[in-house]
Amino acid sequence: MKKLFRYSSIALLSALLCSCSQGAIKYEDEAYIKELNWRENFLVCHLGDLHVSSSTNLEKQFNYYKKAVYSFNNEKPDVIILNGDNFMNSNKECVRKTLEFFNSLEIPFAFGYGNHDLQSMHSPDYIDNLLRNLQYALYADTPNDDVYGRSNVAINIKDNGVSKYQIYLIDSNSYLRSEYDCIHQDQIDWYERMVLATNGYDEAPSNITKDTFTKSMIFTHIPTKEFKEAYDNYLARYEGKEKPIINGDEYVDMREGVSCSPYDTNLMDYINKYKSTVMIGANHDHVNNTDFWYKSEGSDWDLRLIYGQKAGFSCYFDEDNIGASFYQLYDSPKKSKHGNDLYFNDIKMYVPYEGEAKIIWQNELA
Amino acid sequence: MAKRISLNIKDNKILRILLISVIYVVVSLSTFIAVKIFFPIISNFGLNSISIIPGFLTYIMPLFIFFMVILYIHTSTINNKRMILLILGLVITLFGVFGIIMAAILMGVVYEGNTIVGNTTPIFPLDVLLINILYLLLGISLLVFKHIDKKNDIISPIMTKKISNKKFVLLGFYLPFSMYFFGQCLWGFMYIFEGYWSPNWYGVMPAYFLFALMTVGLIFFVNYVHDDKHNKNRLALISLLSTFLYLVIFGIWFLIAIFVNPYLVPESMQWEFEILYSISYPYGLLVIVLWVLIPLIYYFAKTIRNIRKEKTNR
Repeated sequence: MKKLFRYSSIALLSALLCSCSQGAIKYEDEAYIKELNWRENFLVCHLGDLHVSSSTNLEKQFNYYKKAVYSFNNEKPDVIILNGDNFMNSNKECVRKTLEFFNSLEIPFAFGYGNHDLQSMHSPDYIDNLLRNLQYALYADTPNDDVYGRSNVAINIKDNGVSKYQIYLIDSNSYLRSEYDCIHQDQIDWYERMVLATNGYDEAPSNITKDTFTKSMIFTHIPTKEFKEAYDNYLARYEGKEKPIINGDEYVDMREGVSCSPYDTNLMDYINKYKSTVMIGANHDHVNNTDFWYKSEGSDWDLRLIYGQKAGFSCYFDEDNIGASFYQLYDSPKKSKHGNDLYFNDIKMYVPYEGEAKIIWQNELA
Repeated sequence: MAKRISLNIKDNKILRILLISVIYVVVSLSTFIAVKIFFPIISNFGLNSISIIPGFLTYIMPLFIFFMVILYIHTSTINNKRMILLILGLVITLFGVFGIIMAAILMGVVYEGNTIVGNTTPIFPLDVLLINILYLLLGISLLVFKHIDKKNDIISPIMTKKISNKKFVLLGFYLPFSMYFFGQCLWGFMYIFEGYWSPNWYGVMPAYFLFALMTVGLIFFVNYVHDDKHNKNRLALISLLSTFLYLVIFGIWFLIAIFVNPYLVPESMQWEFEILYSISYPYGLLVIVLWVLIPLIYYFAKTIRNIRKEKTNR
């Protein structure tokens, strides 16, 4: 009995000590950067909240996703962004088949984690292990890195070696003590690193204008606090009046509140500083569909806050509000009909299971 | 002359324990799979229920059968045993028929002719069909062979001690939860080398040992149900104290892990604590600890009382 107790104590102690030896790895910037080729009107397809579960009729859903991906003028997009909550209560089989399906479309795709993606019958590393081996997955293979979160990746869109645009996926993480977690400071520092690296800078230049850095988009699953602020401003603006869905270049179809993290981050400070990011794309609140034009206090930088369309029937949804969001990227701004500088065209597609897809709304050029 | 080891389950206690252990493992895994299959009904607000319910019912059925077997074991009269076999046979037969019909609908209508879609389980819905055929055969066998007598009753009066309704209801409540978490524990250990516990394995490991301890709690609960006055009190005391020690060690270990990394549950244990994962405070741990502790404390008190009675009677 004594011997057993002694040996088991040693074993437990060793296990505990081993756990203390885990450390994070600092990767080179290049490890996070994936490259795509630019073309005129580069098309980004934004899908979110797929919520594939073990009960999902995969064949039916895959047909739907393919329809959604090609819903804008039957045009093949240049990249697909799966912006979180792609899986929930799923299993290995469903996860594998879904990722292989997207790979089979032969379109580069980036996988962003949401708060539910790890809530499935597989190890936390399973999705990463699959993405690592898929030809079209834009996956940053940086295990045990010093940046929090799993889906932090920078996509640099280049034309003959010249950066035209970037897309950043930043893991919005999941929960912290019964609240939604937020983007961590090390992720924001990572974002800064990537903005500098993709634009060829070692450190921030002294005089930054709106033309210093190429334009970029951030995709993160859980909306940031700025979404809530923008919505509050919108409500205040139209208090006591009928709230329009379309107002100039702004589109606001909010059918539920903003479920963001209560924790503060200074991501907006960095966005305002570098004037690279023109849009944050979020999902998470399934029935919201927006294109807010947002300016933080004291800043002259316009940031568009976009809730992407929920893709498909799963979890909760509104039947008339499912589909995909598309963005046509411009390497130099175009004037909208309402006089704003558009760095991309936001196209919201309604994609039903049966029947034709149609454009709900898009920006109007001058 | 060496003692002959009987392979008759009536006479060989070790064989009985082995058999019950194997059955417990199988039923635990089955219960665990059933609950995991069921969860998308909740998360999808009832959507696609038709593809979930047949699988869920198929895999939860062993738990019902197990429970009925326990009832059978604790029934002393042959007539009552026959009644149980009749009910069990009828239920399983009807269930089997229903399951086969559901499987046919799934294959023919929902999945448009596909026998294996593989979303719920790797061979779904073919597994629903095959398992329900087994249920049908089992049910029919029970109906045919329900006319047992003392000679044919294979489990006979090993544990024919009658238990009160209250205890039986409590067992019915305690059993599924213990089995579910034991199934969870087995599942995690089966895939341990696939990195199942990464990256927070140092925190996940104690949780899995706690899941296993919930079955130990059940063992003590079963002893409580049996209220065996002839147990070896000192041995019982040692096993109680050892269990309590393990509970404390793994509980504190898990608690420390959560406080060292408040993201541990959201990062690595979202599907282990389905309902509680978004709450980083260790409510899940508390539930497990209480689940093990309550029968432990009760049985500890009874054992102490028995020891004192023993001393008084000497």
